[in-house]
Amino acid sequence: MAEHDDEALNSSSAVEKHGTTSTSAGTAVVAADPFENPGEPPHRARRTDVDPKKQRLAERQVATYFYLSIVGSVLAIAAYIAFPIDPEDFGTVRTGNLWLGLAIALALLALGLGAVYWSKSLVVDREITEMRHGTRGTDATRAKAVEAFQLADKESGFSRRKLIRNSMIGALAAFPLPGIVLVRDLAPAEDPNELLRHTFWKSGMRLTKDPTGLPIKASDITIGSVFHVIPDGMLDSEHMLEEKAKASVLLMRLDPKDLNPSKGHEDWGYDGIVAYSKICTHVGCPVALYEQQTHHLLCPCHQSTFDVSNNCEVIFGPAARPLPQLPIAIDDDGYLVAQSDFHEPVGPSFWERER
Amino acid sequence: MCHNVAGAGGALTEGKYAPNLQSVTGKHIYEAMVTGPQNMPVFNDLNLTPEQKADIITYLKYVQDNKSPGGFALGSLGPVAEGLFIWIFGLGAVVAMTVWLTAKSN
Repeated sequence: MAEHDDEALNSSSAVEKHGTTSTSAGTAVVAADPFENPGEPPHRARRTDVDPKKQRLAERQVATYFYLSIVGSVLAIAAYIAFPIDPEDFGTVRTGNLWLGLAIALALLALGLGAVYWSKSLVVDREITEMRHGTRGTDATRAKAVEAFQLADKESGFSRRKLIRNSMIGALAAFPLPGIVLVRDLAPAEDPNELLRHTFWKSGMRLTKDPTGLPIKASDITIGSVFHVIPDGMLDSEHMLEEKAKASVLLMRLDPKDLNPSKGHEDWGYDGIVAYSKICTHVGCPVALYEQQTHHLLCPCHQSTFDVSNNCEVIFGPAARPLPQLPIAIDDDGYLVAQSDFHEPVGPSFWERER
Repeated sequence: MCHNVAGAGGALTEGKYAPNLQSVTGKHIYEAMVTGPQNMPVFNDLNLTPEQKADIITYLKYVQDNKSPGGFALGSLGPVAEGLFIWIFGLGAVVAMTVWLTAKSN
């Protein structure tokens, strides 16, 4: 099958000698073409072929490249010995890698450059044109291929012995099924929609500081403060990181005059203290870049900007929904507690989310 | 997050920015955390204790004094700066090499 399509070519080998301008039509449709094939541009001799001094110069250049490569290899060994890695000092990693890398790069690059320059300037400059054959084989080849398949079918009895054929197809079809079942079971067993709808927050749960887990008193928070908050008890939970990825909250205190809570949300804050989910409703990055004067909350990933004084509505960027608000209250000892879980799923949209 | 993980600075909304902390003294950093200058929020001593503030300053000083083990950090600005560098210099070099490889000799 690898033999060339000799009958379709004018010359006897796949390589055409330079000078002939005729090209075989192959299987292309030959139309009455107003443009004549101009053929190859005239052969131009290289400087190194014309001038023997230039040729010797080119030789010396190639040799220089190869000498440089030797130098590079030697330097690589020297660098490895001269710059060992000291576990106490990370700077030695940098120095060692730098010199080792540069030396190995020099060795390999110079080798390649020498080889390429040699072939471009000194190797004989015969120009070759390789013809592109049509992809369709000759009729004789095609007939032979069909014959081979038919012979194989006859000798194995594949289409004649229907029992063998059908049972084999059945076995091949059944074989991928265990793989599909096993791979599907890698996903969580719980319905992902239920997992996304609820977070760790419960009614009466204290707001605590991230990462220490110490509770927060309302009087601790001054105007312009921002606290990173996690639920009380989350640090000891079984899937702490998965819970944290949904339950992270940002707590801010604004002057109550600056806050415009929407209808129904008036008692979700406490005296200017508001708590919003930290998970961006765009793709889920933690939104924590708070500007205390403008009351903007910026997500660093795609620059969604939320206005805290207006229920974190989106004022810029790709987020589609405002950040969910965690309703908070104060308990008898003055600590901040959640009134309940979030009233909507946190984080990015998903298909079954109502909004 | 506003000043970037290495304190190299970062962008905020509407043209504002959090400045580079490389040349800021420890005292200045502590004051900024406690007072919340311009749009920086306030981190009072009940939010970040004085020990936690000192830890933060120690970390920033460490990053300042110890050069990046990976070499030239490109301002510690992260993947955008690194991508720009590779696309312009790295890919430029590759394209130049490709052009040279396929060009006819003189």
